[in-house]
Amino acid sequence: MKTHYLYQSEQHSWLFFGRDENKKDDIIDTNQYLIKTKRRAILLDPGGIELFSQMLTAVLQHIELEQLTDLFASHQDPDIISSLGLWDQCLDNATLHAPWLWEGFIRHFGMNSIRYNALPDSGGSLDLNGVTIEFIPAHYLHSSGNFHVYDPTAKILMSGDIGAALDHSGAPIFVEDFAQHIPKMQYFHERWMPSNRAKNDWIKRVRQLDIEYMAPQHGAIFKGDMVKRFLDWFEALEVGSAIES
Amino acid sequence: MAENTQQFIAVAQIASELHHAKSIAIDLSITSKNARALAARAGTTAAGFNEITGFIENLANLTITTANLVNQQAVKLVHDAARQFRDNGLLRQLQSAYQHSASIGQQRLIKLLRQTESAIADAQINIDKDMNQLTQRIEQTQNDLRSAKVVTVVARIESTRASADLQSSLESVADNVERSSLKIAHHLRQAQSFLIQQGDVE
Ligand SMILES: [Fe+2]
Ligand SMILES: [Fe+2]
Repeated sequence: MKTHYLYQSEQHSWLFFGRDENKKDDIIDTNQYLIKTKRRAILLDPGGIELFSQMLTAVLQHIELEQLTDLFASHQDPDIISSLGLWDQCLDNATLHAPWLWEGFIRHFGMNSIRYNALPDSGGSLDLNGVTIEFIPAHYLHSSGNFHVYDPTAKILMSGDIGAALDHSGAPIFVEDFAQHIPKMQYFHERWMPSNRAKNDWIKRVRQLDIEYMAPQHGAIFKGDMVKRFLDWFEALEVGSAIES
Repeated sequence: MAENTQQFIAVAQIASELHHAKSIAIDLSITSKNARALAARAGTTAAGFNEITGFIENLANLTITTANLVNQQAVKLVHDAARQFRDNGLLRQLQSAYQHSASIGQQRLIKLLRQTESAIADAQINIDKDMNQLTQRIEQTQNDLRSAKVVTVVARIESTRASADLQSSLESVADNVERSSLKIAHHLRQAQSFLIQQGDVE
């Protein structure tokens, strides 16, 4: 599992975990993110069962287990949160922030000790030891109940499946050549994203945010100017491709 | 690890066999109620009748009570075994994480690793205790079932003395008790064989 610091300040830092070399070929490669403060930490889209021991190893390299007080699931997919039952057995005092829409479904992964903070459709925010992070609605992108995480201080938007690219586990962490990156993400967005209306609404809202990094759950991270190029490209893209027009 | 998987499956199989046994015991209890209705119709003329219905009722109730107890215990066992099964899964993950961790990670893992190991050991003690009790209860029910044979014999003797229309009813009561008890015995034997199998694995 590769680890990379996306942001570091006195108060908090963002860590990227991904490009797992030991991952089986037939499961999709995922990115996980950890925001850590002095006393608390939140793991964003903790990943699937298949990845759990690697994630635990990576996380404990940086924090104490007790420090992991919060988890976030952008939506209900297995690659996002099927490891929940295992985290649940390890964490005595943690809260999962996830869409209200999926509570009854996500609990099927096994939840005895972790609390479920059901995020309303309008979103919300979390004060993590003095650091505020925002849960930005991204419904129907691709899941019908879906959120992203925005950190206005670090200027990072964790964008879940938006901006996702299907790439090999040796691929670079950041998008280097946008034109070359398009084929890796085009089909994913056309086929997994169901709604042009939802897409355009999201773009309108996200354009108003100050973003230095747009960090998706699969594939390379968009940095600086690449963020704007992605938004322009996505705006022009027709999604919902399984239905013939 | 494979042992634990087998134990978990064996317990689920035992619970399922006992569930079958119980539903048959409920049928047996209906048979006993029918027999009582027959006794009422026969009035005082058939002397051994009340004895028979008494027998069947006792037998059915005993079987249902035992099956209920066994069922409750089996449900708890399935729950405990499933939990232990999950804990074992977690332990494998923790061991793998430990193996791949640097010393700081190992230090942070060790408490959880030990906790999980002892949870698995504690669960095993409980499971063994429950398994023993389950074995005893199944044996007890099997003994109770032996009295079903007496009921059938008595019912058949009575039927030869009874009037013609009661005769066939009595015989069908006897047939019913016989069939039900054979079926229950079969499911109990199955449950026993799963108990023995999982015992061998340990
Ligand atoms: Fe997804
Ligand atoms: Fe995904």
